Amino acid sequence: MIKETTKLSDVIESNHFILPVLNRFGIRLGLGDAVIADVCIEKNIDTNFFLAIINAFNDEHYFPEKHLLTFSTNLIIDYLRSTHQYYLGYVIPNIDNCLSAMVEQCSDECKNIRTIQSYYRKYRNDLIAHINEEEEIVFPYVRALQNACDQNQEEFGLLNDFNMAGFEKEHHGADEKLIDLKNIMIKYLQPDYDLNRGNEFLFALFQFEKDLKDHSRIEENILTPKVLELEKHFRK
Amino acid sequence: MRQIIIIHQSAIIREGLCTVLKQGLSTVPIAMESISDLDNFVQNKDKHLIIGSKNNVDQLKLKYPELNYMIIASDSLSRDHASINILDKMEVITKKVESFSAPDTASTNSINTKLTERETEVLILLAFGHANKEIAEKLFISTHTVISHRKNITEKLGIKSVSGLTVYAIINNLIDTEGINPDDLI
Repeated sequence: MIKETTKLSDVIESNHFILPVLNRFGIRLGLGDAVIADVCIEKNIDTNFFLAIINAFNDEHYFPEKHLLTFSTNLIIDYLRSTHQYYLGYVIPNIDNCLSAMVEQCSDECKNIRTIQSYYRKYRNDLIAHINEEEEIVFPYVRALQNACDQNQEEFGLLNDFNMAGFEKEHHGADEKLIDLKNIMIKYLQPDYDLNRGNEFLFALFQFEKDLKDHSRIEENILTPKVLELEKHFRK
Repeated sequence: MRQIIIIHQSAIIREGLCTVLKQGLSTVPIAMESISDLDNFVQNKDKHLIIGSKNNVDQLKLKYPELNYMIIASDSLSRDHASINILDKMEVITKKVESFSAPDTASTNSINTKLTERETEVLILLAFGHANKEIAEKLFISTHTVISHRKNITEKLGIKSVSGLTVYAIINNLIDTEGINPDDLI
């Protein structure tokens, strides 16, 4: 378990894949020997929330639901939004580039890679649409809802056609498509592809899959119950 | 995929044997209460191993002669190699079942990821965007059978989504994409 006395440099040494998660809190490389407690104070980060998130990332069996439910919705949404920016700003464009490079390296018309590219693009577009819906509708709604509760408002316009359960279903469908994509790459790719680009693409997919799983877990098991609880105040 | 199927009316024998075999072998057996449950299962031509009571086995041998069989015996009279006794030690049971299901597992593993003709037909129709009902009508089978084929296809290929299956079909040249834009299919 990572504690507030743990050195951040040690955290990275033991699992470098956690770097993007640290970035979401505004933490960058050049950490020296700083321990978590000090960095959190310096960067105005909620230490308990930070520890919960990075321990959950490191150990997939560790997910302290009750504890995570105690954090404010705003804190959680800020973290989720940071993650979205990472996906939209880096992960997705990077995977796009890997695939485009694979297509470029093809000596012939490249039917197989192009087919995979079509499949990936459809998945990517659905994912982007989902993220945008969360950013433009869900998150502002939750913030407003929380605000209304905090201010003890009598009434609040609940989004009647909004259904968190439906949202979860979308997560599940997207998971499946990503797993299918991995399997297609691993099992059914024909040998005429660029070795290194292919590896890059697959590595990126594996990492994205892991991050998305974590992300969905927080949205489904923490944010959703909190929202349902808040909505109860205003349901007649 | 070749399965070990335990058919017995006693829940204790079913679950007990399942547990013993799960621990000793790398495959997870399937348990059924009666032979009528088997009919829905035996759609593909895999050589499953059926382990059941003598009555069940005798009946099933007539209906599905191509499958492998072992009898579950509770008396000490039937100690031949095509049977397991409930008094046998765990290791003995595992070894017996292994020797009965092992023979082709190595060589059939690669074969069993290959789709049957029927499964390929279903896959192609799926790739072209047909619903289960339409596929059933085109192939003169029931919708239930189509679903069963889809389950087998997913299990063999490791691909769940229809668009993923479409990609598989295109990459493996099961579909002639000469006049079609793959984007439209996927």
